[in-house]
Amino acid sequence: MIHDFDTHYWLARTPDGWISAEDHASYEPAFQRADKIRIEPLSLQSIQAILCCDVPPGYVAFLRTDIHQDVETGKIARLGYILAIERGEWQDPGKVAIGGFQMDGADKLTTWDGLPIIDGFRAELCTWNGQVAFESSHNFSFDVSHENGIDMYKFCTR
Amino acid sequence: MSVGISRYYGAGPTRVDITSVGLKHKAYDSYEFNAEHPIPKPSSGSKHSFWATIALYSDVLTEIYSDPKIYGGGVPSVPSPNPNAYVAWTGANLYIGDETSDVYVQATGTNDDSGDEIVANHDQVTAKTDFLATYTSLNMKTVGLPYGVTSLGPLESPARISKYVFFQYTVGTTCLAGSSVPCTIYFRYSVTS
Repeated sequence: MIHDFDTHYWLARTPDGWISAEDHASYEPAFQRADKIRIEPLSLQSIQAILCCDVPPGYVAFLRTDIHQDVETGKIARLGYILAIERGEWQDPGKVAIGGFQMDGADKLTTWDGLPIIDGFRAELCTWNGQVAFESSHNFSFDVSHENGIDMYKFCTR
Repeated sequence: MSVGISRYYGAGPTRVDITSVGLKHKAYDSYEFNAEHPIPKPSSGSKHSFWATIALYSDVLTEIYSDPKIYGGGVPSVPSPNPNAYVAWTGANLYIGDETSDVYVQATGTNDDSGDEIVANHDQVTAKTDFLATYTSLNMKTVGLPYGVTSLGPLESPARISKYVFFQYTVGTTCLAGSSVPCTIYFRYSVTS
């Protein structure tokens, strides 16, 4: 589902073709068959960053939207997109509370505080400052490239 | 279709969406954002607002929620310029009940004088913490989903998606007359969408 407040959306490549947040939810079984995932900007007004990764066999992907909502106004003050990969099996990955990154006093994400990183990675695109937070086990890393005005973050196994 | 902030008041309780209304603290059990029923400045000791009960509420039937937390933006300074004549938080504190709960308890007290102190009178609260001084982006307070589940959704119908959170505003003898500078409170939560 793409909301009015969204600035980015996800796409996933499954054996039946690409699916996206436009007409799917990431808790659907189809998403768990994906071997490639991307989070892309919805418009030129969005932070121009793409997150992408392959989902190796034996790993599970989790997508979460991290929302900070102002009680006084109801407005979304901060919006982040979390992409997580972890080795193992979960009965219903879309219902796992995976947590999120902690923040420092300057609203910058710091350390991961949630589903333990045993064999995988956690990444979050912070739309309020353009930062991409990343933590992983030793066997994952990421590359950043700049292509056509967009920062491309590729998360991969070493 | 959205997630909003609801306030609960009265015996029922009655739920009202305070998204875009705001959270006002009064010597009265009401959600209305106006200057009626102010908390009087005490000549000694403290006076309290009637405690306020809030929660996240969703009418989106296609999502899964997890990890609700709450935090503040710190004690605000008086703005400059100050066209609304806000006053500093001198002698004033916003407390949060240490416990969150699925049990609603109507606020009690004496109208236009003082609410009953929350720890002594709220069945679900055994301690309170200075919210703005304690819970910031560095140290968020875990709120929890209703009934202790670890995730919630997709919903079958609109529903509360966090436990109730209890606030009480307390003023002492050094407080300043007027409306305190509005503070900022955030709910943080995760959505599988």
